[in-house]
Amino acid sequence: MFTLAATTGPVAPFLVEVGILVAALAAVARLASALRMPAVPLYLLVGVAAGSGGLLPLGFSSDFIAAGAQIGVLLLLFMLGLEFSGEDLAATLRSGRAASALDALNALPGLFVGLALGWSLAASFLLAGATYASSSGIVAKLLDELDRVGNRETPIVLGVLVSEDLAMAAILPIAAVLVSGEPLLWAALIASGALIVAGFAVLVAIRYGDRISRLLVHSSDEAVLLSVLGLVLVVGGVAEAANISAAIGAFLVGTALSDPVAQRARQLMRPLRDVFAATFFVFFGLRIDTGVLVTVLGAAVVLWAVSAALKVATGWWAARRAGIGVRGAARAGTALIARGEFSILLAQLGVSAGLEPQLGPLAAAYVLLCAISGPLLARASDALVDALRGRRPLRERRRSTAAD
Amino acid sequence: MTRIDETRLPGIGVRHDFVTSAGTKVGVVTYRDGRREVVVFDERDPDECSVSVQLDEDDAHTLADLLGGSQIIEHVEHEREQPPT
Repeated sequence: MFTLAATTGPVAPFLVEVGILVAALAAVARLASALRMPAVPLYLLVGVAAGSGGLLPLGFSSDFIAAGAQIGVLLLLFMLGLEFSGEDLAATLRSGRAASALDALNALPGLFVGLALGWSLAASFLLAGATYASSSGIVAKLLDELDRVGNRETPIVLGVLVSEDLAMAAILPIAAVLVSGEPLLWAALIASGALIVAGFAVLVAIRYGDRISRLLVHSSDEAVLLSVLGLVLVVGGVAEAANISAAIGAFLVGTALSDPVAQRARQLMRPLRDVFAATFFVFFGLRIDTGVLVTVLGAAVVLWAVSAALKVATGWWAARRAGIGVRGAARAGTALIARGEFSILLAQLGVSAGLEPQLGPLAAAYVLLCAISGPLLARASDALVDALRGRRPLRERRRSTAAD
Repeated sequence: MTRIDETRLPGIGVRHDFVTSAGTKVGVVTYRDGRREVVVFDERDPDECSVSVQLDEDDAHTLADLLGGSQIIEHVEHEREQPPT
């Protein structure tokens, strides 16, 4: 073991570097938990701070971190696919179409700001995707923390998230082709091909998910963990080679697995996902040029204001349409503000292709604003609505409270 | 017979709820990993849960025993015809 490592590079500095980085992330995760905010924006900040200020010059471990970030993307998408079963996707397609269509308008601010900054269509498309997708991770955690899982508006919020995840199955391959500089017609072909594959995978998952899962199931945790991880990496790699994007391959593996393997994989892979996803966010932050970051702050604030308002409108409208009251509609709207992993993922595609120097910094600033303000606004939404409504009584009390 | 509504929560699980004879809406969220959550909807804001109690599987059994349950399930009236996860 040690001789093998010694021939490939000095082990001690490598371990120390990775160790310091992980320890920094641990401190940040604790801070986030104490402040009751999502950890993603803080991971980004650690990356930005370490990258520009030279607090952590990564000499030995940069390759490792890059590879870790790649695995992080795959695991993020795989877990997302796991959470949303084929039945969920199909049910959302049936019942949540109108809300999903309105939600798609959230891509417009990104598209327009990108074009207004004089970016290429590819870079603008990536920014459009970044403003479109709310962060499933942050929103799900938020609903749990605020004890809103049982609320009547929650299924609507979750429906919007599911439709975005499904849309990602089309957005990622298009983005992959656009950044590669291939002609648009080719991009359209690839995207429709990917959609067919995705639709097929969902069908397979509904029909044969049981059988696939029975092949993978085993009484040993190690056996399940390793076979699922292997499957995710191989399918991701094959998808990447076929120009569909590794992330979408991993996502489809997730949707294809069903219980009991899905349940086991959820428990076993979560810690792994957390480690590698944190690596991914830091990696993205590391490559942000703070000089450029300052110049795009204005654009980021505009983007944030417009897209936050649009998301609130989306949630509000969908909830009101389902017969939910004003307070519930405001909760649904504010819950959707937070952007996170998807936005970074799409921006990262452009950054690694060397597409547009402003894209990474703008996406980072934008995600920071949304991921920090989203949970704060969601938490304050009831109080805000009550304050706006002044002294008017909310609703007449029912007879059971008349007794006290 | 009490009407029980079932609502799917994508990525989380399923919620069943009903209205008690006194008019309070009570629900149970069943998470995919087996956790349960008993929720009581707010009197003033009927969309919001004013009380939510997290129960692990043991807790859920304890509560069910205390309530002397076992006359349920057959009464579930599916809001939509979907298989439970």
